[in-house]
Amino acid sequence: MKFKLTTILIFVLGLALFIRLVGITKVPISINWDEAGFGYSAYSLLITGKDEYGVVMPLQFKSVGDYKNPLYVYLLVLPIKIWKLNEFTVRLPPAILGSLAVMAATGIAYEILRNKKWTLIYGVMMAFSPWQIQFSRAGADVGVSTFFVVMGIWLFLRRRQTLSAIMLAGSAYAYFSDKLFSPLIAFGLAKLKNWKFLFVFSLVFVGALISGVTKGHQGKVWMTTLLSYQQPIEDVQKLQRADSEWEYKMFHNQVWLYGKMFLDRYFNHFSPKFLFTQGPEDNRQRIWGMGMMLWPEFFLGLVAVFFGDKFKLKHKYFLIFWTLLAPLPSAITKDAVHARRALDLVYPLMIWYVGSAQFLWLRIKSKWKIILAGLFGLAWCLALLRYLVSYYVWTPIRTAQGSGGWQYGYKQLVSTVSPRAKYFDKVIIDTTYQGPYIFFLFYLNYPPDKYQKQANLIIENPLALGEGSGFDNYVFREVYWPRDRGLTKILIAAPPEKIPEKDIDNIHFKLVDKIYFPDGTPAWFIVESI
Amino acid sequence: MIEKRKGLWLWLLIGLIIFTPSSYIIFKNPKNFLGSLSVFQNYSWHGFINEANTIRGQVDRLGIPFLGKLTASNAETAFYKYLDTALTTLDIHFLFFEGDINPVRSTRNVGAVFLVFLPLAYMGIKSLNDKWRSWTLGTMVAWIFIAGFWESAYFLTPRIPIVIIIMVLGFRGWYQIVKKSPKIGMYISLILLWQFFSNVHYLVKHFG
Repeated sequence: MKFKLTTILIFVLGLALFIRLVGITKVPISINWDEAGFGYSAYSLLITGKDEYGVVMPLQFKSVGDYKNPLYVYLLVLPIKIWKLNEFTVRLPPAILGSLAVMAATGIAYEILRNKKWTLIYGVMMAFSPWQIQFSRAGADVGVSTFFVVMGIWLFLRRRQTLSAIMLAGSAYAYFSDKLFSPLIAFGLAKLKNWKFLFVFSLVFVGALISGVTKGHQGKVWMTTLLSYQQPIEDVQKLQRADSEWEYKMFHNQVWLYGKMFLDRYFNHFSPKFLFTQGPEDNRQRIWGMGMMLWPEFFLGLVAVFFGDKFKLKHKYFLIFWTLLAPLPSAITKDAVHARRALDLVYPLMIWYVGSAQFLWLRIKSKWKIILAGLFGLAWCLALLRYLVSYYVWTPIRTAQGSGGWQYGYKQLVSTVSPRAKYFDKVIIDTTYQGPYIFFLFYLNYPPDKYQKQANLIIENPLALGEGSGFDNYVFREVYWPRDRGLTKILIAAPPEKIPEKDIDNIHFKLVDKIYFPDGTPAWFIVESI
Repeated sequence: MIEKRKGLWLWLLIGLIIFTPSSYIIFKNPKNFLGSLSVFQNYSWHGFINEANTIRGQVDRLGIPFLGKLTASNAETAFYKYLDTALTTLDIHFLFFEGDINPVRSTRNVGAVFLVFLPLAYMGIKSLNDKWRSWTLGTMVAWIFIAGFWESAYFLTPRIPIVIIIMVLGFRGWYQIVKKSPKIGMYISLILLWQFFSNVHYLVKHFG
């Protein structure tokens, strides 16, 4: 059976779209404050032409104090115009662009593998890739930027260099890591010779560069990267007490300290623990009970390490360059390993895996190869099934809570609190789970022109994000029950540890409702004064 | 010239295997190092059975026949626990940065192998012919899955064969580099010496 490449690409795109769109508003279990922030900034832009702080058509969005990149916000404007501001519209662009990225990556695989059957296998494996799905189903900015990166590379390999340069530089407007990754990959593609390509790239990239050196982004770089890491002073003093000066300089110098941290983080992205068994620790990145890829692919990875130099691949040096470069933006940050920042690694890794499979298929001459392929296929299908169950059933229950997770409960909170809000002088919402103001703005579709006049982001710690102080009669702050119980005509929503149930006496306060996390533990107590 | 000194290289190899980061700990504390070799995975442990039952219960609520058995049976849950321990054998952080999780078996200042052996081992692989590559790969895979039967994922003792394979590959890589470019070989030797003395320094001055 012979396929045309276009047929393969359309099939892969259809499959990827289907997987990324099924139940998109239900899993991940709720939108997080990044998604709400992107959505509300886009809504504000649509209604007023300004962000929620009144800045006209910005190149960076202050949002919750993290100064978001602009591309995803601007891409959201049209879907919000058509389908209103809700979970579906926020998640739609990354799902579509993430699927297109799978298609473009399949195109790249064809340019490298030069074989349609193996390209199809690559496309199917990428369409089901847990790593790629994780960041294209949830409304993540990296789901947008990854499309521009992969499409840029594909276009370059197809000799559409001007468009390629625009796409690659465009990725830097969507996700922070790509401000570092895209110029490096562009220089790698151009091999410092293709001046026209580099000129167009630089022309488009310069805007992202300028926005990247503003005060807001500098703070973000400082907050996130190893630059702000300080060795604890007690450790330094302890070492200095035990060592002579030359020993300290020789064995505990800063170059080695930071170099080792960087290398540790860099190589963690290639570790089986991250790739196949445990994944990252962050709840919004992880899939419970597994790594970012399916475990049978581990064997293909080993074969690639041992025999990769013998694979007959076109553009092999570029593939090596891409593989080695992709974890770089993640390795300079504080996290030990970060699947989101290293998303661009999944595409070349999968090409190596399929290259390994192709190599083995051609190399093993006996009937064993059919048995081995059958066993691998069976293991891969079972691992995929377990992944799907984990993604849809186990992970949502275990990653729903808190700002590190999916911040479950705000939708229910808004629908319980908002109809009652008008009967009270103040509605106080506790900020323990972080970012309540942005969820209220999002779910209430609060008019941006009204909010712009009240917008006030409080940043208490320079290494943390901010909290909106409130709007109308909503107040967002920490609830301190011994003080707040003395207030009258108020409604309070807070986690159970902030409001002792025994104090709700039905004389001064009554319990309106409780909201639970998916595992059955209480998330919010909502009480009102009588 | 280097070819004629094969005996020297062999002695160097033996010497440096003895002076691997973990060797001092083995000599200092052999009981702790070898004693815990009898601790194997226990798949009938109640916490483990509980986890299997919980996740199967969550799948069964979907009402899809056989899905629970296919994805969350006791055997499958046991397999994933085993797989986690087995594959962690090649965890780069464990092998090259911190070593055994237990301070009686590692200083936690260096890995089970010096970091410089990571690129050298790759060079070593590249210098092998196909037959030897296949044998090395097969041996590594076999040992990874043997090591999976021990309880702790970061337990070095059952993983010593993997450490030896990596070191042998590393020395082969080093040898190849020295053969091709003595200057680069010298720089790499200096890095290795620095790592060695850094470890000795840490052991003597800071490791209690």
